[in-house]
Amino acid sequence: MSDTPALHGVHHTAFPTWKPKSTVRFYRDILGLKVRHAITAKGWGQDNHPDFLHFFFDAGNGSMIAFFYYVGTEPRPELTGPRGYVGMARHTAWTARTETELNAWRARLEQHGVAVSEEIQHETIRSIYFRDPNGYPLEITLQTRPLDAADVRDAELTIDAMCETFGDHETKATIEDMWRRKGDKVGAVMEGAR
Amino acid sequence: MPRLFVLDVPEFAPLLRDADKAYRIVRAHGYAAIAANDEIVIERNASGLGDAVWYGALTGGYEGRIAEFSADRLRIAGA
Repeated sequence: MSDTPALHGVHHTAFPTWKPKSTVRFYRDILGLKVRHAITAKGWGQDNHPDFLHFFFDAGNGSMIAFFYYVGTEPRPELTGPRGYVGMARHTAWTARTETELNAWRARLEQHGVAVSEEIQHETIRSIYFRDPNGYPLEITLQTRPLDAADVRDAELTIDAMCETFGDHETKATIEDMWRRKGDKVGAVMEGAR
Repeated sequence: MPRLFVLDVPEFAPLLRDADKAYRIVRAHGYAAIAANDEIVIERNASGLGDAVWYGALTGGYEGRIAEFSADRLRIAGA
């Protein structure tokens, strides 16, 4: 049996855009990300594949954020402008390494007229949120403490409790059901039984 | 007898410090268990938790039932 192959971080994520000029202005000129690569193509042979441009910006640490502009296609607002908490779930979060850096990002974004959220302190990260001109939700976050073995074990227990409680969308199950199941698991850990 | 389990990490330390004034706390294997005879009541202001961590304060799980979980107060009663 072969070993599980490894992944080595994000190479790129890609999104459709119908505002290529505004997208370049935002990522290259406001965020200051360097252009790394750009592809242009006369479709891909099939009738239903539009002509397109595919361009990449450097998001640091070897990763890129990329966009597709499909020439002559109708914008798809349901893809580019997610609204509400559930819509915001699909987002991109980049790393700031220091508090100074996080503050500098806020200042730079606000100087360029980008609306930035209040800083949110989560369990182990502190974040600011904003949107790009397409409406894509973005986050810049600072890890405020490293995750250790206790965090990992706790996450595994939570995920086990989640799968046992909700399966693949058991709509009658509640988060209270899941928390009680998690409590059983943690109780067993504390008694040394797990 | 309700019990609230809390991962014993820095972000929950203020909650545990506050709970320690009124309840029995047992620590083992990286967790703290807060136990009460009748009800565990945690006041948001006294717990010192910000929004995100407050609403995630039950992530460690519990025994009993939630009698109240509002912006200001968490009460866990016996089952």
